[in-house]
Amino acid sequence: MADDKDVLRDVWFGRIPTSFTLNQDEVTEREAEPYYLLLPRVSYLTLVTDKVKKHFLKVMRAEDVEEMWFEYEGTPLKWHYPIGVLFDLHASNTVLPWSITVHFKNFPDSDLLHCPSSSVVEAHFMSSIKEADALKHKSQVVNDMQKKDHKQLWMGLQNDKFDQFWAMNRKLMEYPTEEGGFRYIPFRIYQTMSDRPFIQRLFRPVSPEGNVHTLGDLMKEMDPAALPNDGEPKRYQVVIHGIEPLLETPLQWLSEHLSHPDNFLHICESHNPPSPVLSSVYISTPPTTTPPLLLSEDLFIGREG
Amino acid sequence: MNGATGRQQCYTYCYTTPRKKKRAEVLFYSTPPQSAVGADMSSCVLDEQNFYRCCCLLLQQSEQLNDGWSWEAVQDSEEGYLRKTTLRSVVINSSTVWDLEGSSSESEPSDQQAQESEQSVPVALDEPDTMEDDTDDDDDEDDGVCAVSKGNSKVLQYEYHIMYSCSYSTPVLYFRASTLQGRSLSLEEVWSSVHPNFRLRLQNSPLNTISLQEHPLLGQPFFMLHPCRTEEFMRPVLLAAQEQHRPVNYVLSWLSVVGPVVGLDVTLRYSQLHPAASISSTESD
Repeated sequence: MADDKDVLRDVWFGRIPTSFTLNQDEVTEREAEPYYLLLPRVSYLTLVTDKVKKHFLKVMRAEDVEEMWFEYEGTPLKWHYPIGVLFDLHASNTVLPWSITVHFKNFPDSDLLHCPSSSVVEAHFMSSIKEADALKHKSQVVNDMQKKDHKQLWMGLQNDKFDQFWAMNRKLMEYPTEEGGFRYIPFRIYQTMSDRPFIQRLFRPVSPEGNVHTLGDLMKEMDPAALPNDGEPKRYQVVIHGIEPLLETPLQWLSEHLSHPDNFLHICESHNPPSPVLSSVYISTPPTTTPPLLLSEDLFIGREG
Repeated sequence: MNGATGRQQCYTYCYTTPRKKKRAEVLFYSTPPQSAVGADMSSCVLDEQNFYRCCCLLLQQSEQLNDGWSWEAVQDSEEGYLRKTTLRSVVINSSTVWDLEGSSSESEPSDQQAQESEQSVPVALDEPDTMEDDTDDDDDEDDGVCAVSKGNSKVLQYEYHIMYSCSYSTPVLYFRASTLQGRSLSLEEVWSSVHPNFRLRLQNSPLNTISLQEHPLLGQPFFMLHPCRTEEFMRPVLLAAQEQHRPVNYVLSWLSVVGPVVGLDVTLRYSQLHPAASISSTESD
């Protein structure tokens, strides 16, 4: 039986093998080879693709290079979404490696946010953490932290340092025992076929009567159409970090263990089956009496190294 | 209905600027107690239902004043946002240096671009009939004509959205700006069109600032004024009103504080509307 802490590691070290190919309309001095990279699911595109940029700049003239942006099958990829979310949302049925197209011109500024430097990523990341704590603790925990503590969270993510990150992040995962959980659960639900970018509303982990809310309760409340009625086949997969947790999983447990480093649970409603290479987490017993919760597919989160 | 106390009242909210130490007026539109109550007074936060009520009230008043606000609903739901577009004539220059009318106050940030002898200042020309009835109001630096030299004076279209943040239990202001030819403004250009007094305050607290964000309903890039400090400046406003037993339109009060920072003025005439004229239905007790 896996320890709950192993789940944290599996989530942190999840990787997606990716190939970056230069858009063929870019002007190059010689042919550009694709570049291969293992992308961290929990990080952000513009944070981890310096090498990609360097690689393609070798075959381009400076005057042909503007802000780099990424696209998959015609869809511009939003760098401010965690990489794993982008994959689960747009590409989970693809054959690996995930094939991303790189652009250096014609930045689509009606679709994508500009990202001129890593400090923009840091601001976005810290803003998410603050918002998550506003929901969980009325901002008390994050406001009690010092500036260097905030920096530690960011540096942990930026430098892929699990221990450094979690030394601080564990404080954001605490709650008064008598409450039974956070005040509200920070989550976002992404749907491929929607005008709305995501669903985000207030939702408590425990009902006023003391019932523990599950993932299924959340989905029923936020998108009743997602779950089939009895006897009907499944219409969507509910995917977190590339896996389908059982709908009976307590939401509080998911928030503590399957959140991204930004402290949000990012949930994708996908039509596509989760990629078979990527994910399996054997979720151990939450601190109630229920037996171990297995996931519906036996897959493995690839660890790096 | 509390006719007497229900009339327009003014409350001065202390918003001191480093340079001029002036006070900006924040006007409350007071309403009879049984209609839209602006906020849960005990905690100075705004729940979603009250947000919608405040918006409804603001809309009614906006219609009377021809102030241009509309409601954009998300399909088949109560959810939505207030929307308004305006035209502003602004001097856009990414190296804009601010002429503060002669006084080089030590509290101003030393601007390394301050070599230009003539300096450009944004001139914001609001739509007609918004500021006519100003009497006691402080001079707004944006009014009138200032020395304009380097930099282009452009007419820009601004689009403002007011939405509700359930995470912070406050309204949030989103906006975008483009030239009449449809070119979107960059963050630098937007910054350069923010009045220097506001800019200084914003720059001091990075999370209380303007940034480019994804619009939560439309998914497109918009500028946003970060909401995490809203409760801080709304609290004295709400507590004072509570002490004097005067309800407050949270959204309108909030807007009159944050709007001017990004070029959106809230006409004083909102305060002059008769409450009874704009309340069509009241809440059942």
